[in-house]
Amino acid sequence: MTLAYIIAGRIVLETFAGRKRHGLSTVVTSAILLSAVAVLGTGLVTWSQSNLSAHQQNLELDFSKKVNRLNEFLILEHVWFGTTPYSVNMTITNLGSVRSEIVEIKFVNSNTKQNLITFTLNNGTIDKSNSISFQPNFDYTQYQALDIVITTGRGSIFTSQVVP
Amino acid sequence: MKSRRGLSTIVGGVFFVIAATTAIVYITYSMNTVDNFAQSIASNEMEKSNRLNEKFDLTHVNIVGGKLNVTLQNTGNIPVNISKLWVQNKTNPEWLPHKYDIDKLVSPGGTATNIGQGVPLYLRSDKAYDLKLVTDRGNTVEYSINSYSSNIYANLQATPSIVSTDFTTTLTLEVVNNLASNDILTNITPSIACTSKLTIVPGSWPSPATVETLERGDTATFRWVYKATGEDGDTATCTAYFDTAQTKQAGSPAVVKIQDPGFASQSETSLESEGLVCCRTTDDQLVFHAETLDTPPGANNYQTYSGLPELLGSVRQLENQSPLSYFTKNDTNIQIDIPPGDWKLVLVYKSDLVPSTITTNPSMFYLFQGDNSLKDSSGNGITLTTTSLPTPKSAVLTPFGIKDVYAFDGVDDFLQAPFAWGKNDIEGYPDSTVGWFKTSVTTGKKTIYRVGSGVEFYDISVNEQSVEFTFRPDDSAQITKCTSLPIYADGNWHFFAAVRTAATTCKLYVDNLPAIGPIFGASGSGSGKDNVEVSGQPTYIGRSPSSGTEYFNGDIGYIAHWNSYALTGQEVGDLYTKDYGTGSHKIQVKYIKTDRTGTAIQTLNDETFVVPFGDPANTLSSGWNEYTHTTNLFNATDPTQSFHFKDGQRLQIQLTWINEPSRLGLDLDTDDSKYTDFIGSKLVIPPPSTPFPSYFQWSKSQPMIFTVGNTGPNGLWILYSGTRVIFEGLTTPTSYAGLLTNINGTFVTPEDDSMFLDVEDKGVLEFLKPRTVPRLTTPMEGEEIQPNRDYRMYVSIIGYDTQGANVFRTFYVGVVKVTP
Repeated sequence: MTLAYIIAGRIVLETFAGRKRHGLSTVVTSAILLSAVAVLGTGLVTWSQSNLSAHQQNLELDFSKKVNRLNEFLILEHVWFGTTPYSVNMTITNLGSVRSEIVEIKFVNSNTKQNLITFTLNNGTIDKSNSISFQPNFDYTQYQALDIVITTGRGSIFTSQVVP
Repeated sequence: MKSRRGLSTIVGGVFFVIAATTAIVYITYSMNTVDNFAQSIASNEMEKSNRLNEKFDLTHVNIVGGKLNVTLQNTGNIPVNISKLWVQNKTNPEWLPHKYDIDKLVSPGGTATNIGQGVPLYLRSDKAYDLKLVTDRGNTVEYSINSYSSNIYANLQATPSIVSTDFTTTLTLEVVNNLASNDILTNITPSIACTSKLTIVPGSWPSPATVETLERGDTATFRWVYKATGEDGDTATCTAYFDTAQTKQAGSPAVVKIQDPGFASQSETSLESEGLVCCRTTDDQLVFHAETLDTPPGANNYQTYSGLPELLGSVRQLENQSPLSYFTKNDTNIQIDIPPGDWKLVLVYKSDLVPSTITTNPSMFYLFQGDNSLKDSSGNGITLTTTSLPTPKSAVLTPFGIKDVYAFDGVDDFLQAPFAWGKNDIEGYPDSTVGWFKTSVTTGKKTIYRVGSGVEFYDISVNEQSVEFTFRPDDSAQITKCTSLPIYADGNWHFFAAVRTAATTCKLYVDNLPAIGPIFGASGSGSGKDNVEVSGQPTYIGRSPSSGTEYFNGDIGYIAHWNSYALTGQEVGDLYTKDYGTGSHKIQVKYIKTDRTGTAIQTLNDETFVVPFGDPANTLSSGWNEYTHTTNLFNATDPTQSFHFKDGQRLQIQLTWINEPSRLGLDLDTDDSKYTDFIGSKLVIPPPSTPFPSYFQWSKSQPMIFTVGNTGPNGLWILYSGTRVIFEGLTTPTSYAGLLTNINGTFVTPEDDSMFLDVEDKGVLEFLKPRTVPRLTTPMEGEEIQPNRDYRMYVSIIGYDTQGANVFRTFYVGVVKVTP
């Protein structure tokens, strides 16, 4: 835009001064805009990265838990029954591909499904391909079938039926 | 403006790159995660599938050298690794279970043997053990050794429970694995003890002696036959035990009552028929049968399998039916392994008396062989007698192969055959007499063969190095005489053939050469002028009855006489060359593995051997002789040196008669059920891993029918109770039995016996489908017989005959394939 004045000298000055202000505001505006975009963009990127990272971690955790649980496999390799005192002697073997931790062993009446007794274990960790033995005293009834229910820390449940 | 647009483009580009990279990384990560998860699931599923597909069976368990010896077969389609063995002593509860590492890999279809032999564990045969094998996939098989408790179902029954003295009863012990756990009972070797009124029949069972494994729900059956020897009213108690030490009783004792029959006295024949349980073959005996069904096409191809002969004999003339082949059935769906060892070819045979060129057998034939030295091998039963027996000489080297000859002392030794019309009466012509002799010292006339002590006679003698054949057909006739040149020498064997070709003509051959000495003679006149009338007079060998002298001094090999037949020169020549001793026959035997069509794949053995003369005078059984040829065979190209048969492959036994001048023909007796102590012609192979399939096959969609014939001597009735068809599992210990439902279309029930079966009547027995728990009425229990498996089939028949005798017969049919 150009303004016309009567006095020539001023005309030149004013013309020059008007031009300087106009250029500054454009730069400032641009800077502001750039800053705003940068700040907003960075924030958005940071927020999205953080959000994705959190989601990824959750997924990883969930996946890991599920896969590990899937890979858990325990068998009741051998069970025998003691008489003095009445006890159940069991050897549990980890045939899965991950370490497992047994947290609970339950004896359930096979016919009535009544829970007879529950044992909580504090040191029931079994490395893969290893076995542990567990000998709780238990007043079993001869020829009464029992379900032995083994629960791991990951929530896997393994059941086996035995007859004293 | 241009520069600002560029800047904003750069900033936008940076953000785009960041956003795009983030998205790509996240998507990639997510895909990887999902992929890993899927792989984990797939891997887990595969492991589960492998675990489910892992299948193996115990095939044999025993204790060897104090150590456990388990044989296990991988019946699945993936390898199995036996990783651990758990052992628990059931006899001593203080003895804690022991665990041993085994680590034995068994390939699909393979067998692992000697499991337990390498672990430091010593077991006692008198103790009970529970054992468990664990695979590395976590599958287990549990079994017990000697671990019998009162909880195991066992039932001992006597059939019949009331029996006459001197009659037999069969004690049957049923053992059912009814354990609540999945334990397999192993090595069940029961025994039985009876009070003194019952004695076990020699050579009787227990049958089977041992059942190696008995899975849960399965039944094992053992039988013993005992003979009652008490008085009327006596009882005998039998107790069965799970073990041979008789410490663990099995079920309740069975009581047998001895009671005289209410009928008339028992005949010998009914005594024989009672209690006779037909012998059974074993898996290593391939019996030569007469049937040709399902054998490869060919004129002389017959069946062979481990089943009893069913016919009354079927004769194969080897010289006319050569090569003769016996084929096993092309149904070998389970691999059969024959370990290295002796293959015994058992031939039950009779030698031909004369070469096949001679169409008429001699009417008397004396071969002077061993225990039959005085017997007539012609089958006419004209046995020699004497008052001064010549001296038997053995292991003599003769040109006709015979090792046993008689040495006549020249003083008083002689043999005589009683007069028999048509056999040695001489009277009409023609006649022929042949024989071998060796003189010691010849001075004067010495008689070899003579009939007639009077004017009319028939005489063959040696006289000063000549053989003389003389006879006079009529007292008015001249003596007809053929004399050889003095061609024989003392101390050498010579063959003579004297032929009365017509009333007054003769031919004489010495050492297969026609005698060229003087021949003369003339007929008499009147009635009977052509007959040598010596009626009632015996035939003498070694002396002249007319003089009581002229005793032969030397050896005589054999003498044969045709009473109404004139040998030709050719026939004499054939006789002269024949071996009547150790080399009478030459046979080539081949054992061949063929495909299912009978085409040879591999010749396992090919050899030729000689067979000695089988004297029909032998009294073994109707003149049949037994000869066994043994060959030790092994498969040099196999690591176990075993021969393997699979995929329908057959074993062919090929017998070829070798035609040589010195060889005689022979008749082979096959499929002959007359024998009770041996089963005729067969091949005995080293015990195979599983028997060759029989030619019997039963479709379970068809009625189970078995036909019996009453051969007498008495009519009989068949009882519902105890008459059963039994299928003993071959590949599994599970066995099945079927109840009798009707005979000849008439229902048989616990209240109704069969209709009367007279002598020569046939009884068509129909049975219900065999089950593990045989039952007459619904609801049925137990498992029905499983098809597509091989079983040993038995039919057990119990009844009574018209003379009150108990009839008990067990027929072993053989290995039967059951189809759907």
